[in-house]
Amino acid sequence: MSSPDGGRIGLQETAYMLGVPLYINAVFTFESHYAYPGGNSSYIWVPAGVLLSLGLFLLVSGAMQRAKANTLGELYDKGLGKIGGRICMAELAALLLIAGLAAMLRFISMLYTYVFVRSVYSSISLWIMGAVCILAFWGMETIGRLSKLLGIILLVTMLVNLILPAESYELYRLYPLPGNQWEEIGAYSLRHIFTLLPVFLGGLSMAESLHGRACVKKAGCIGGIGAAVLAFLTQLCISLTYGYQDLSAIYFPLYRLDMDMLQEGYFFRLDKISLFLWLAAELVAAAYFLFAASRIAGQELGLKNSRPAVAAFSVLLSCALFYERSGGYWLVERVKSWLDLYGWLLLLPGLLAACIGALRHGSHKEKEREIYEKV
Amino acid sequence: MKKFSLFFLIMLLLPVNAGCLGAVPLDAYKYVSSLGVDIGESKAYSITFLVQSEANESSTQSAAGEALVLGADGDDLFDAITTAHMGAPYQLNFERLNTIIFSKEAAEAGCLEKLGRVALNALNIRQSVKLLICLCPAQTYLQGMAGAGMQNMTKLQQSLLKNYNEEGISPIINYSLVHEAAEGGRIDPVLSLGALDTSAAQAAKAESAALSSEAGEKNGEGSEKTGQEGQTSQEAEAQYTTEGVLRFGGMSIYASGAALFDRWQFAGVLNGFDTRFLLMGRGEFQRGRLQVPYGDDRLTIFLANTGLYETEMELGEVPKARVSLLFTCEVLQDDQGVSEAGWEQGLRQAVEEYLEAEISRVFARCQALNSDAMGMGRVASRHFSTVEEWEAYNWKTKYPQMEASFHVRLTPLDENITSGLE
Repeated sequence: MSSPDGGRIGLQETAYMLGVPLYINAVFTFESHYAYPGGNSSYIWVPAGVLLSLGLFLLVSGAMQRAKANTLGELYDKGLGKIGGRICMAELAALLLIAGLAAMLRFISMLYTYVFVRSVYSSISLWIMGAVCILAFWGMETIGRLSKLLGIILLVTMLVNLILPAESYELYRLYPLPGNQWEEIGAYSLRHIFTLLPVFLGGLSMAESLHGRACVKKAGCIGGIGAAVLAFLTQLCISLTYGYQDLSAIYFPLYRLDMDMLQEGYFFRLDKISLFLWLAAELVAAAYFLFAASRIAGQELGLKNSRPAVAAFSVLLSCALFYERSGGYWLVERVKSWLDLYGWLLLLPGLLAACIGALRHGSHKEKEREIYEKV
Repeated sequence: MKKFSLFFLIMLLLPVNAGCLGAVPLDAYKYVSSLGVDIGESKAYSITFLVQSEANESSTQSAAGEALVLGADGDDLFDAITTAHMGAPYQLNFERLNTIIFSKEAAEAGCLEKLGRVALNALNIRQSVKLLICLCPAQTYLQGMAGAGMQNMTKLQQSLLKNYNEEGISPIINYSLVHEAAEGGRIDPVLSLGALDTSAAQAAKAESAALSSEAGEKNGEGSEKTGQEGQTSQEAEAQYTTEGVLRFGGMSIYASGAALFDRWQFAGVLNGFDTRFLLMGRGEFQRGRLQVPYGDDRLTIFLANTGLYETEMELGEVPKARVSLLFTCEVLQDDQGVSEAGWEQGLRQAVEEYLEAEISRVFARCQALNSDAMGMGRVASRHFSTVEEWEAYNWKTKYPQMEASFHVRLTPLDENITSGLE
């Protein structure tokens, strides 16, 4: 049996490969001025967004099983026809790139603001993009195994990061509880799936390389629940450290988690080291998005190798990164704000239509077979 | 797997190379450990930098490092830094900045709020930087800190922590918490208070003795002081002693008491004695010794926090709060030799009532200054489920009318000591 493009990985690697980007995109992509001004209930809606995405992933996975589709591409083809399927897969590739770009932009800004104040934005971007491109170029085996290696370290680091400033946590900062209206919390959760659901869909689109749909489903559940729990703990600790007014004005609250501590200790200045570990996880997550998008492009264009698409998308992403800081800042911000609010609309209708279409197509075929058997 | 582990190792080592981006040689820096803010003469502010340097053999400074004081007037912090750089053969680095000290005059002029508008990240100043208000000029305070190289700086930091944790005579706060308090509207900022005591230094003491003998001679000649002069002398004495008490030895600078704020606006000060009751009312008092009036004598007790601090609040046009506190108590000195039975039959109740009265007095003082220093807003906000409702309630307009009652319970920590057994 020939190895698929990019290699083949097992359940554990797949769970980490989906879990790491889910956590990174759940916690690192949303803007403070968008998420906190009306109150802080992020410790509810961030994990709820992950779980909602997981629910939709299970729904799609179930539809694929019923429609006997091995990959997401097949489901789209069965549900929406060849052309509709290709359009939806092209859209998914674009959304994967945007989801990858969202976290990369944040990380580059963080490095620029907190660490390399005297450096220039473009050199940091090149440094990040170079590592992401190499990882994606090496394919799924590299990304999957690095995710597994990094996932454990990320988990331990995050727990240490959250435990160390425990003395500065205060319950009163959670009040008013829950802060936002429940409808708002629901809306935030729904909007947040824009950067989360593509992670699961990317996995389903590469199901053949991940030991099939059932394996992806299991790995998605493990990765999704793990990411939701860790995202909940992270946002809860942030909420116990800063009130909603402060959070609205802090660019990246997780980085400043230990700033309320009054007595400095040996671990007090771990923030920069933590940032680099988060960055390592982000590099792998971004490589996953880039590779998944390239793989889809390769499949749809009939290429046996995803590397030309990786190279092309890397150039595209680099241009997008540079464009933000070379005059296009306001346009990028406007697009980001629009996507934060309405991005989920680009994702859900096509997906649900494909599921319904494929299920109807499947039941129609079954009816035909029953009639044929009777005859 | 080896290939991936190797690649992973390289990825982790990459940050080591990060120093190459915008690198500056280490010896081009001098680290600022404290920063003082005064009202300036030629420009709006006078900024003083306490700079840490390597210990120099030729200097008389401590092994902890040499301390240099330099400063400049400026319209803002950046302006002062630019001016200071003109005359300095090195670059000031703020990454190790530990304390920002404001003179009382600067705090009254709203400098703290202006600091809230400074982009601290631009100077690499951490939000955990401690803030302190001093009754003397900040420059004088920093010169006092520089007296024994960086040793005094370290001692002051230890002293602040000790005063907060062991004595309860000083609060401790950093920029992040001040910002949260001033912008959050649930608690007002309470900053550490510092001052200068020239009586502590031997030279100053001798000088002061000479001055007082001179004054005594003048008094002997029959010259009469006016009431105003007497008051000025008392004020001067209070300013250059430790809260009006003569102290010998130690650092001339000290930290005791609290500076109260109404949001960003300076409201007033509390001395070390009152700060204990303020911290009790906030639920932050850890432990400390206290003298309690008892009959014609005084009883010295040791109080320690049990963590039991509960506040019940009824909201309305006039919010009503009931604060319950539980401390463990130990009698350290009892000149009248009260027995265990005596402690249980009246003395404990008397001490509890004394503490309740003192906390209520300090609460009334803070309320009169419109400073929610005890953080009653933290409890009030629990009654709301959305931010909209909470902000519409407008806590700070209700706070001046608020009624609060404090209920203190004491439990003996060591019954042998309470009953006079050693």
